[in-house]
Amino acid sequence: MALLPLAGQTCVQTVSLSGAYTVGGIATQNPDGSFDMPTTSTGYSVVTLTPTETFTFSQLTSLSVNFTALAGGSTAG
Amino acid sequence: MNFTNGKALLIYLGDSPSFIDNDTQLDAYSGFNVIGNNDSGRYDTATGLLGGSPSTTYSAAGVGALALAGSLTVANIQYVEDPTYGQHETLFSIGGAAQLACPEDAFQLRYVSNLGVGDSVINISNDGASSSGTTFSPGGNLCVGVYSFDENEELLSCCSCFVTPNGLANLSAQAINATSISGGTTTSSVIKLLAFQGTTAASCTGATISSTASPLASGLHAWGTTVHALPVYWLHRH
Repeated sequence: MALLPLAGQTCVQTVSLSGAYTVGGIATQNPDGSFDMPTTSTGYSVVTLTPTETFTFSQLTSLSVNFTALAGGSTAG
Repeated sequence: MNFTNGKALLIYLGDSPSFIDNDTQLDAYSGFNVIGNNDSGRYDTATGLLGGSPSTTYSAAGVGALALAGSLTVANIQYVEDPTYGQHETLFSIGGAAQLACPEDAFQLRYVSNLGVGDSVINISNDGASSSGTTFSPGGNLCVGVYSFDENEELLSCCSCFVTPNGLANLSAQAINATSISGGTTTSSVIKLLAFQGTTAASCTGATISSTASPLASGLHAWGTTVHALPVYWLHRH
């Protein structure tokens, strides 16, 4: 007798975003793993996370960025 | 946020609707969940060729992020600093979560009964559905968590089996319940199996399942036998 699978029922698993980080522009990675993201009048910083998992935008239940702004003028997110 | 079809969704951090803040104001948005947020102008569904509006929200009808990008597969997430305002930040991480469908065969269950009279057996195999290679060792190993619940619906025992493709594991219900967490005993129980990605037998544990390191996986097949009393037939003499 086979065990009973959950055929026809909704089963979801929550996965945390994780993957590989790459830097672009004038951003650099600090020794502690964080990223230094300066800007100049002509240069910008970008950090890219390529997730390990495959998902659509509607499957995202949360998305946030953990950072701290360093002193120096007004900022735009 | 870039999608696999080449289109992109822009999401702004900071105080809506200008998103021009000082450091203190911007710091308040560290850890801020943008999913589901309907602040005016938080989302831009026009610049990245999604065909929407440069100033919209998550759920705005027709032009919002969910409407135009909901079905698109995420390729990557970029955190970009606009050089216009002379920003300088330290980025620690990009975080979040997604809800994905589970493989339907990853969770299975059955009962075992009359353990005081005789043993019940669970047999587990792995059809290799999670394998990705074409060699004689294509991966697709499963770690199967085995959880036994007593008549009071409480967890009685927890163990795990490492099952490689085409492998066969045999479990004795009496042996499972002999490793009782509570020290109690039972003569019948419900046994649940949960299959997740396994790498080595040594790292296979049903006590902690990580959605990233060991997500639920497909390929589990299981069978069971248990003991029942023979039915009683009443013979009527006419």
